[in-house]
Amino acid sequence: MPNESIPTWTRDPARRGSLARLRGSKYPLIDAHLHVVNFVQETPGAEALIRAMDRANVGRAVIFGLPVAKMWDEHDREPPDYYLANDARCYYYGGTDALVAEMVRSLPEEPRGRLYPLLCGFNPTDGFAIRDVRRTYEAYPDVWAGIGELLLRHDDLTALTQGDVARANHRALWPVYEFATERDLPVLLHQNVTSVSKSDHPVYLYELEEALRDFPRTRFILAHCGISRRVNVPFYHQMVRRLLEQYPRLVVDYSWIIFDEIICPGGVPRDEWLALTEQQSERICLGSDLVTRFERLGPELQRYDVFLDQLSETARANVCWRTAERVYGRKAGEA
Amino acid sequence: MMPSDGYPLTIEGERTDVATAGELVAALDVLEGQHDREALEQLRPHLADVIEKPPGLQAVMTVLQPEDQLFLAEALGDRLVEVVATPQALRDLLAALADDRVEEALLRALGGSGLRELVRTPGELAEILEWVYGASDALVLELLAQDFLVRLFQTGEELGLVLRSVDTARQRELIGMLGWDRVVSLVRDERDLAYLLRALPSALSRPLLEHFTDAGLRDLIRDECAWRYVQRFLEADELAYLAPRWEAASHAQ
Repeated sequence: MPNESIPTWTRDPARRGSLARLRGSKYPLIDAHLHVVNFVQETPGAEALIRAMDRANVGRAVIFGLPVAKMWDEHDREPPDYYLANDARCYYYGGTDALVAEMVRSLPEEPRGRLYPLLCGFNPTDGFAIRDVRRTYEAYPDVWAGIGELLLRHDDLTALTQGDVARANHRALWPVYEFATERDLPVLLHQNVTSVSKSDHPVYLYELEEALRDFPRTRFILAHCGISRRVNVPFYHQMVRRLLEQYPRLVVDYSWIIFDEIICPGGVPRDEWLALTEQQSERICLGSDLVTRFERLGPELQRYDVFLDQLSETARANVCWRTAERVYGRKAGEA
Repeated sequence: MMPSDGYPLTIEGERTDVATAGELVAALDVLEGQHDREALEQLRPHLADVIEKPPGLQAVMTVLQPEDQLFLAEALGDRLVEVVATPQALRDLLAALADDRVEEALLRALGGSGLRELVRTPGELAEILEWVYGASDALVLELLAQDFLVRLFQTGEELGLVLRSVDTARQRELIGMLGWDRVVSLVRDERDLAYLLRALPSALSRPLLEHFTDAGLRDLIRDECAWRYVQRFLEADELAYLAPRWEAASHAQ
């Protein structure tokens, strides 16, 4: 979940400026991680999304809202525009799925078919979570392609969200995972692998692995490989490699700061990540992780080109398109 | 009317269409700040339509250098007030700007009529003044003008709110514009008096107290309870001056 105020793409006066970056990656791709609703549950809408996708060479997109909404506290003079805008708490907001579903339904068939919407608007620490998932799924049966992005371990957002701490192994999620398995729905998880202050080992990884172990048939996607701001651990690529090898249905997405901080720091692709991506390209997809701000799709996705250029054609096609299409491309009615 | 794809922007042979403030900011960003002025000049006739609303103005202003912020304020011209739209948006914009010249240019572009259109309450004015300093404070008051300011305030508490947002020199100017008689007439009770006194340094609080007659003080501070309330707000020199006057006034009653 990126900070809207600190985009991954920032100005560099030493680099030659060009409007060409607005056209996105030179490789057609599926944006496998895109929030179409922001933290105050507003969206620029479906037309804006499709227009931005067209301009940024994004063929399809995996879209979802945000399961939490930022409160405008009675005592706050200015309304917040982001979850870190002030100290106000966040709360689980079920209405986000209706916003996404209505947005999708407002489109004609062709552009609608380019979107893979996920549902996420429920409290993942509430025993009633599965009831809410069923209701939303059944209310818009023609819409959903999966579940997510569930915001579980998420550093500052976890601290700001009312209620229990959400985590991948919370027992309220067990029936949700079963539901997803029964319907072969992918489940996209944001689960930090560690806490902000523990950078020597991944203290929360076992929570994810407990879910992966207990639900071997569920198709989980680990958002941005479990990284977050100020979250890092040694042996990151080895950890991701082990997870992919241990859990054959697990998929990861490269999105947000995993790319800039770990995979391609300073714009130079790391050899070990190139090797991992070559070997596991069928288990890796790409995403922007933008929170609305669709006009930034181009520059956000274009920055992956330096990495994609160095992959084999097959691996590149997998990472750009095929993996996401295989994971998310089956809609509820078609599964 | 805006073309459906937006307005064309061409830099070094590359073209894009710009329909929203977000798209403009994205274009400026990918140009790495090297063509900000050129982009603004190309879009100049359409900037108000593209930027449209306060979040858009804030987003564009934030990525520009001060010289280009000045250009944008001027380019928006008569339509600036329509884009700024609310006093809260003006407050937020001024809070985000860190250059006196830009703040001044923005205020001048809004002009007296624009500012008067935006500011409806003393609270709104106070929040705007909170984020400008020195000459810009004076400019806001000058642009709003005496007639508007005289009508804006209904109570001493309201005036106190605004006085708290400006420095002592500007406090003098504002009081000068209103006139002491008007200031005194705004004070309806002990609360108004207390709030107004605490918005002023002693150099101005003493003259304020001196403008009340004994009978006037008796009407404001009607009983022991009200006097105890006022005392909580008084500095030592004010208490030394006011206590004997209030006691004399209350005994006379």
